Order: sequence, then structure tokens, then C-alpha cells
Amino acid sequence: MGDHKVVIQAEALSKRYGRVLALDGLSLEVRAGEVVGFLGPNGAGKTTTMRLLMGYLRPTAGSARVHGLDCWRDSPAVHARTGYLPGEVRLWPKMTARAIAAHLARLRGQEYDTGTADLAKRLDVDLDRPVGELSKGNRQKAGVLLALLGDPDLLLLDEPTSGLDPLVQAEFHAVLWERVQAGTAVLLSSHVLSEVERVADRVAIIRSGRLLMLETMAGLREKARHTLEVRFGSPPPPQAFAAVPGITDVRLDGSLLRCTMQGVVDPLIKVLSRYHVVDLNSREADLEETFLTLYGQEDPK
Amino acid sequence: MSAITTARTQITGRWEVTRQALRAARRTLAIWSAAFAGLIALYAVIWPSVRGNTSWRNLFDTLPQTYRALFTASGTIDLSTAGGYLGVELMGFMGPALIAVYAISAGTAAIAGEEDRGGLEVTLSAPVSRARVFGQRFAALAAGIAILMIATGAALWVFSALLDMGLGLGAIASAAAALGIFGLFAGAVAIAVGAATGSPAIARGVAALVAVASYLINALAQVTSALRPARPISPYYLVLGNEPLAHGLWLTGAVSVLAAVTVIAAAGGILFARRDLS
Repeated sequence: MGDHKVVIQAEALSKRYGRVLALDGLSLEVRAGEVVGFLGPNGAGKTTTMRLLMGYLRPTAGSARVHGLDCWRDSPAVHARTGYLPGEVRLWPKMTARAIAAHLARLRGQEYDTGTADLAKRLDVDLDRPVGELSKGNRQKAGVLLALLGDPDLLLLDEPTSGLDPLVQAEFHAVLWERVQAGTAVLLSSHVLSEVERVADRVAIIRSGRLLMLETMAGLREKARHTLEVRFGSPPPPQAFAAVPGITDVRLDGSLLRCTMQGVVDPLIKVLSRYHVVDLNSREADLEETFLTLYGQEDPK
Repeated sequence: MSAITTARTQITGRWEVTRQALRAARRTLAIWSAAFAGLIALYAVIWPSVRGNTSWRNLFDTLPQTYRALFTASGTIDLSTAGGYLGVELMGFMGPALIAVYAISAGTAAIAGEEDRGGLEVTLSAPVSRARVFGQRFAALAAGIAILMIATGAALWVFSALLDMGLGLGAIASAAAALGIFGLFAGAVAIAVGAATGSPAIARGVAALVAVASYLINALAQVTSALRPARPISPYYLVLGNEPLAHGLWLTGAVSVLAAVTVIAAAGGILFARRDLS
């Protein structure tokens, strides 16, 4: 796994638009061969961070560096080693993905990348139709392909799998995994916990422009909240689950139990084993629920 | 990849932004070239009937000065020569208006329009500086105007020969250059304001305002003594005021407008590199 060199280094990075502080003192490091999942609800500052790293925005305070290069002042040098997928993929509608790939290759001072065809096949990208005629999902695939071209050693992917069908998602994750094995650093934003869970080594959770926490995946999982539904063969006693550590919102309707578990579900399973369980359904709470619980914050709106 | 191909790619790649912009504008440029040529064809076929028509000429001679000032750059109407006739028909209003419309829409699209539609972020995701993107898109704008003016000049030359209008190559080149420089001025305002603000609406609006003002200042300066001192700040006056089709290009005027274009473009490029993308 790479040499663990620091690729992204953000220090107290802030961006203010008028009176709105879109990003408030973000500090974050991403190393070579590492995938950092960037999680947060829409409007949390994920896209702002990506655009600061691309040098599209000038920081109000703090600094962002990639390979030690300042993202604002040295953005062309940063771009030479970075693949970027914007949150909203907007390409020239009359050009084909092949033509755009060739254009970007020439801008990089390279020949048309012969790996393009292979990658296009894997991700099922139509290279020869004008991108304006492609469906949203197919355009997203084209965007992903373009971000991966030229073997960048940093990938900034803003909601990469939104609109992708599960098969392509899986293939994309496979491609990503290969790149990461080869030492590529990845910052991947999402508002879906399950996606980040699949690919990330560490997770940065951001909300209203502030970094709430930076955790390893395992650490986050321990804190995640699960909603459980258990059906019993016969109704258990009413107070049977009240004392389970981490349990909340217990509702027992005859032989159906609904509850929420904070962190690991093991304590509940241990108690459940004393009864005859017909069916068990566990759903991981979505991200917003999870960290709203973690930090007990109200949504400021 | 051999060293030679690498070197060649680096050379052709250097103007990639311009190349891509011109490639995308191919069809638009073809349509506009045809429009200019068609307009000139129309004027040319009417010319024989104007040449022989003295009563029409007399009518123009009796028009009040205000009226003539709005039709022509210099205020003189001479329908006895093809140069004078086209000076009224083509050079006075229609030609500059059309090239300004083209240049303003192309200049607006070049940065602000691309930004609005998302293409700018694609280009800027590559290792190119904003200054380079701006410079190369400005070059594409200038090249597009040059292509239209070559088409216009060619049409003038062909129809002059066909209909015996007697326009010299020098006169034709002067006229095309004058129109082109006026267009470049309007286009430079559009691309610079668009690059500085990121707003297509502001770019288009400011550039149109400046182009119209430069036309009106020249026209009104001829009839209002209060506006007379302002005439030399009008790019329209500076490049078209001496009737280039009849008297050739006024170099001092042309060079001053090109100097203004350079300053405007440089300011646009600098402001573009300093602001946030929208």
C-alpha cells in the first residue's frame, strides 16, 4: 500500500460567501494509497472543499496543498496529477466522450490514452455518442471515465456513484481498488454511508462547513445506529429489552419489537437469543440520523 | 510513445484550447460567413439600379445632417461610387452591427457562457492556467472574427468583379479590417466582462451597451457640438469614421482601438485568474 506520503493537506481551510461560512476551518490529510470518504448532507461543504482543492475557489483563510503545491496558486501543477469528478457532470453536449478524452489528453500534453477503450469497456461508457444524447447515468459514467484517465495519483470524486446502476458501481469500486493498491490517494464524497463503507479507509464527517469527526471505518461502524425489527414466535414480556445497553425507542406490539441500537447490536442479540425469534431485520440508519445522534445537534436549517 | 511523437503532441497540444473552441464554432462560423456573403450579394445586385438613379441620389443630398449622421460613419453620402454606396449600406450600420452581434455572442460564450454550461470546469481540470485558457479563447474569438472578415472581403471582391463595382483590393482589405477591429473591440469587452464576472448576462449587456454607445457617440457628435469632443473616444469613429472602403484604413484610429482591445483583454484575463469560479 503506497508509501503513505501525504497527498492532500488542508489546514484550517475556510471559505466564506458573503455572510455564509461554507467551510469553517477544515483540517484534513489524505495519504497515498488511502481512500477517505467525505460524508455529509447536501450543502455541508463537501463540494466547496473539492473545488478549493481544484483551485476553482480561493480560500478565505487557511490553506490547501496537494503534493505540497498550493491548490490556488499552483493549480495547473496540481491538476497535472489529479483526476476530478464534479458533483454535477456537465460536458460539451455535442462532443463524444472519446473526443473529450482526447482533448483532455492533449491538454495534459499526452497522446490519446490507449487505456481509454479498456476503461470504457469496464465502466460501460459509450465513447462514440455525443454526451448530450446520453442519459444522466451514462453521462455520469463518462465523467467517471474522464476523471480516471491519465493515471492521476490523486482522485477527487464528488458523489461518483450517484445515478450509476449497481453493476457499474461494483466495477467502478473494483477500478478504484486497483488504483488505490497502486498508491493513488482518493477523496470521495457521498451522502450515502453504505457507499463510503464499501470503499473508504477513513471517514471525514462534515456538517455546516465543520468537520465533525475523522474516524476509521471500523470506528464509525461502532457508533452507527441501527433500527431493528424483530418478530417473535410468542409475545415476550413487556420489559424484556429495557435494560439492553445502547437500546432506545423500544416499541413492543405483541410479538413485534421495534427499537434502535446505538453502536454494535451484540448486546441485543444476546438478549434475543433467550426467545424464539421468527424474523430479524436490521437497517443501518442513514448518515444524517447517525451523526445527528452522535453529536446530539439539531439541524440549524 | 516515442520522443518525437511526444514533442509533436506537446506543440499541437499547446494551442489545444483554441483548437477546441474553433472546432466547436465551425458550424456557427460557416453560417455567419454565408450571412455576410449573402448580405453583400444583396447589396451588389441592387447597385446597378442605384448607380443610374439620380433622383434617389438627390433625395439623399437633401436629407438633414442628423439623418445622414445615423446612416454613415462620416456623415457624407456619395451614391455615385460603389465605395460610397456600400459605405452607406454596409459600413455605416449593417456591417458593424452584424459583426458586433457575432463578436458579443462569441465573446460572451467564450468564458462566461462556458462557465455557465460547465465546460470551463472540464478544461480547467487539466493542467492549464486560467490565463492560458483566457488567452487561447481570446485568440479563438479573434480568429473567428478574422474568418468572417475574410469571407466578407472575398464576397466584396467577387461581387465587385462580377458587377463591375471597381473596388480595389486595398479598399476591400481596409473595409474588412475596419469591421473586424470594431467587432474585436465589442468581442473583447464581452469576453473580458464575462471572464471578470462569470455572468453571461452582464457580459452581453455591457458589451452591447458599449458597442451601441460607440455608434451613437459618433452619430450625435456630428450634430451636437456638446458631444463633439467625445467623438475620438468612440471606437466606431476611430475605425470606420473615415470611410475605409473609400479612403482606406486610418492607421492611428485602428491602432488606438487595438491598444484598447489589448488593455481590456489583459484586464479581463487578470480578473479571471483572481476570482472564484461560479
